[in-house]
Amino acid sequence: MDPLDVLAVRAAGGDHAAFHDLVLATQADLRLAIAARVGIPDLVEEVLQRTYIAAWDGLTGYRPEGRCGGWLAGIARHQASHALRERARRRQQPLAGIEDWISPDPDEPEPEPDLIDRLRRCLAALPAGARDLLQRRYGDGADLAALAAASGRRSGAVAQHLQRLRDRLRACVAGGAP
Amino acid sequence: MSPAEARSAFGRWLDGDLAVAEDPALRAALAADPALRAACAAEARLAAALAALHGAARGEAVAAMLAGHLRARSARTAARSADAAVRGVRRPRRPVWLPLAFAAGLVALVGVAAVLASAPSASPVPVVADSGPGGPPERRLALAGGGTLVAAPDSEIRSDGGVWRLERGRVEVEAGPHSGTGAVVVRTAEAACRVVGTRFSVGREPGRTTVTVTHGMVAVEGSAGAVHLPTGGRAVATAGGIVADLAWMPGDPAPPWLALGRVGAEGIAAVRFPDRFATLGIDLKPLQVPLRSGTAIDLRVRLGGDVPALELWCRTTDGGTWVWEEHKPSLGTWLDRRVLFSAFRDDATRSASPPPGSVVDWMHVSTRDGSGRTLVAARLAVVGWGVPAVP
Repeated sequence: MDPLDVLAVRAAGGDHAAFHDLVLATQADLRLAIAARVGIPDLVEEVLQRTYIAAWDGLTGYRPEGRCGGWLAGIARHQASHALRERARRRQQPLAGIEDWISPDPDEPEPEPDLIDRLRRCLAALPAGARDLLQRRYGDGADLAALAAASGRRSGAVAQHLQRLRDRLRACVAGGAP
Repeated sequence: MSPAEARSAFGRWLDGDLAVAEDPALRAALAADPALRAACAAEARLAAALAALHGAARGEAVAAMLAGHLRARSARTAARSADAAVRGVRRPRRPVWLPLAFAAGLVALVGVAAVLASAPSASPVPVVADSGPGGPPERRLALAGGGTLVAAPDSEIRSDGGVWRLERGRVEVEAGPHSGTGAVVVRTAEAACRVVGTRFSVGREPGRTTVTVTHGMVAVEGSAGAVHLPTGGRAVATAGGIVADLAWMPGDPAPPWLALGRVGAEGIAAVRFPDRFATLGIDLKPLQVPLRSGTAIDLRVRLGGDVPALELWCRTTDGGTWVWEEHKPSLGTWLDRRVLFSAFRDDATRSASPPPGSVVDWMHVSTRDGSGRTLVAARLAVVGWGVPAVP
């Protein structure tokens, strides 16, 4: 039996440890797929957790046919669409914030399946220093002040560097040169 | 704000470096320009994907958070079922628990109640600062008690019997050493902001007021309640209510549990829950804390909304579920609580406490909105668990 199916079946029987392992085994890919769809870090985590809670509730209906990853991805798509519809509604309210305005429309097409692979390739083509900066910013969560202090540069210069890297990656992912 | 300026501002927003004063202009630009929205959305998706690619280490935290949530739900369901079977009645339904986004290292708890402020009276009051678009850059006014009020360019503010009425623009207020609590009030159509500490700013655009606290504490009040904003806090008030965010600031005092013997497992997480209330679970496995006489846990939380009860839950390996509650917790300030396990009560009977020798393997803290009112925004974190050293 597929290893994820083994965990899913055990979790369906109420085994919390198995569900814990299922989350660990699947969360990275699921988070990436959700991030590419919804685009707002807070919302990514929200959708991710809603996905797993919905999955826990629906485990007894899951048939172990080797498609656990796809099953979770389907739940994530549904949860993402639901979250984006909530955001779209909030745009009509005076409390709408920047994150509401930049949320994709719920009916917007799904991102291309190889988007993350292209991003990985584009990242790999960056100089080591640039990759390190992105790791510290996005992996370690360092803010501009911390990055500036570590590099001896002004935070404005670090912000510009990050902006240039994002522009470069966006162009690369869209099909340009790395 | 031109599209180029908006893109630049959006980049700063992505990096958490957008000034509060720039926020309205960027929102307006996004609302008016679909092409700008699409470009910024694409950039946000890229940034989110980068964060996800680099965030593989968060997996354990996600799994632990979910485990806490599911254990809490299971324990409560079991307790309710058992209780209902004994009594033959249903207990009042509590809200569903749902821990959401969390950020390691962020250590604050916030709950905010919806607030609706009454509009100011329409009676004519003197305009003390109305610079207009071509007016002076700012207007500085002296306050009783030694403070100052600075009106930004293109601001209109009136003095109304000791209350400052901001019709348009933004003011920054610094209360003086002799101002006293509540001595300075800035009112807009959406909110009344009463100084509790020393320095804050109020921005007013049509239908929307933004309050930012630079230092001290400000009570933002409406007809349905109040939100206490500490240093670093920010609230947006409209006719529909107030949404507030009480950020952890680097200058906040270190938690006292650092002086204790450390359990070893540390639950640091922030939870943002837009609907009802906040909750955070911490799985102590494989640590398993054995209870001795005098074993306690330290908790640090901060509430921004009118939360009727703060709850701390623990589960013992024999299947017992225990709860400690604090009713009507204070708002806006850090609450440091050392809770003895002997103060926990059985969730079902509310009588006995976990006996010495029990082993705790899971804990959970939550805010509860028992009144049925909606918490508009909440963030919760626990800085850690400590057990006093046993002599």
